[in-house]
Amino acid sequence: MIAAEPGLLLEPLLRARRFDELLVASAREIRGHYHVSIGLESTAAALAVHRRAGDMVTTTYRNHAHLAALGSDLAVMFAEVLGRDLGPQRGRAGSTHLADPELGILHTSAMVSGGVSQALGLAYAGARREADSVCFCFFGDGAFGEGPVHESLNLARLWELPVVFVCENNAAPEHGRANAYQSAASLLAIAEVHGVAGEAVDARQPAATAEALGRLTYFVRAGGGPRFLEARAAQWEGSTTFFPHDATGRTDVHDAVRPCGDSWRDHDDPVLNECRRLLGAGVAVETLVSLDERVSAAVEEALAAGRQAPVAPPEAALRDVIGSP
Amino acid sequence: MNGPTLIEGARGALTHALESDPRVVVLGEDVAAGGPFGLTKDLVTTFGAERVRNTPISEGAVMGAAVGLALGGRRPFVDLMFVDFVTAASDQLFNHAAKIHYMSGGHAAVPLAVWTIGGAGTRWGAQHSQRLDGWLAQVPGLKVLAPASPAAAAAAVQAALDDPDPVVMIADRSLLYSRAGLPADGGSPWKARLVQRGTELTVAATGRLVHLALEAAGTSGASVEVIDLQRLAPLDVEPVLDSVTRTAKLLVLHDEAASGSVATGISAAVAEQAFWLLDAPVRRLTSPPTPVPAAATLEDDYMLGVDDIALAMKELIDT
Repeated sequence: MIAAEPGLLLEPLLRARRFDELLVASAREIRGHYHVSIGLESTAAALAVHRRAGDMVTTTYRNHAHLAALGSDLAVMFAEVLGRDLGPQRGRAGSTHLADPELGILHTSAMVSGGVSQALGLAYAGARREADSVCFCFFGDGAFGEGPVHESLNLARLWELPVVFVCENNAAPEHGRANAYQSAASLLAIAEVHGVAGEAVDARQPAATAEALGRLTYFVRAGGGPRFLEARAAQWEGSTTFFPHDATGRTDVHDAVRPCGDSWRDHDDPVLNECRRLLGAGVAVETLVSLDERVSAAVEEALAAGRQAPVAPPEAALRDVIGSP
Repeated sequence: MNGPTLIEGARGALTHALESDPRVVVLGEDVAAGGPFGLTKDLVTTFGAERVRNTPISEGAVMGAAVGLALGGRRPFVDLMFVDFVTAASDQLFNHAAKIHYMSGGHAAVPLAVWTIGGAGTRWGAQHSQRLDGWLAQVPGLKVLAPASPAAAAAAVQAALDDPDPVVMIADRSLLYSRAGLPADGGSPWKARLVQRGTELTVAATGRLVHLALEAAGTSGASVEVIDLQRLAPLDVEPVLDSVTRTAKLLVLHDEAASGSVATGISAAVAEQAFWLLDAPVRRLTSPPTPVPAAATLEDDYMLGVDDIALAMKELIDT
């Protein structure tokens, strides 16, 4: 069971949510492409609960929630997305490639299945260093359209690698199929065909997601080979193909205590659902509001710091193509 | 002739790397069985299946796993069997291995060694006989080596496993079991190397064509300077420019179609930087712009031969 403590899931959820909301509000400054994680934060918060030092993480072009939830420096994240020279990536990565080696995120691929096979090697390398370390491998439902996901599930089982695959699925099932682009009945069923057992969870509920991730991670750490979590989230209305827009307004934690009359706020939003769970367990609404105020202030401060960072000098773009001449 | 074959040279260096560096892991189809061309013969017996890893026929995921291993501090060595299979592994090679160091701001390294073979001459058909040197060399962040002798192959394997960057080694199909050394053996694999001095013409070549150029020059009796390009990316043009200052004529040989090829890169660099030193236009002798045909007669016609090279040398010297 996940304890009813606001610091456990709600704080990472809010860090992620407030980061992306501010980013959408600052879209004009980005001058380019970006994706947000709004609606998908449950898996990120669950990761924050279960990741240990020594674990590796691969994420996707929707990586903001993973980094923010794990406690990455939000000013560095803002600066990188805004094309500034503050963190180690120096403006060469941008929104879709955010990484943080301190958190075990060495590289983030923006190819839809790009990080999945890399997780195999990271797990292989890590398992030899620390016996119970794992690699958390996040990818979206769309990655099942690409061959390397199927190759990687097979390989992970064949080599019994300590990989926790987490598919963030925000596609709607239709006509008895997992989604419009898959013939299989579910994405979990595809993993199972490759011998990778797992669970499907309602990822609109962060606590349920964290519990499921905990169960699967336990088996992987114990040397049981790979596991697969299908995290079924709702699609946030603002997640369009390219540029997200603020379709639902700034999240108000008070919406957790009143009917709002729309499906997103009443049922789908993982942030509000975690608020409801905490309130149901007796946490006062004032406690949630005060946590939110603290997180929001920190995120706003980070945006200001990111904005103030310098841009990289032009010659910096010519460096680091190769590591040795 | 004594000494190792090219494959044996490469295997010797790989064996040494496995012995001396516990980070080295070999991945590939049938590598535990010795590899399709004998590169990894008996290695599994000494180093075990954890370090000499047979893989399924999953080029994309295997290359991705190798990128992950490299990021995780290991030294993966991937036997890709045929360079044609780069196509199936290209997302991880081109989009990831080549770019991760740059995108990380110089903090992450992908020390990945990829061994593969390329070239026509053994009737394998269009999907197992091409060279993709120009294609690979065009991607910033990838290093490409083309060893032309057993000693060069050993040096390339060792250098690739010592290097912090992704390195693709393309060995010439027709040289795999050759013991033929080159006079310049023993030097760095990272430099184009002067194989033979001459005064009338410079020939820049790669792989088997280095040997054919020496043979053609020997037959003709002309004084030909021969350069083994060896490092195809980043292309090492300096030794060619230096040679052209002495000979004033350049013939570039390469076993791939001219468009976008390494031969074209050399030719353009010399035309740009040494135009006023030249006594004749730079000449490229390359493969025809077609896939490699399978039939023996057609494939033999497709490939550059000693006679083609001797004729081009003569024409250029007589110009």
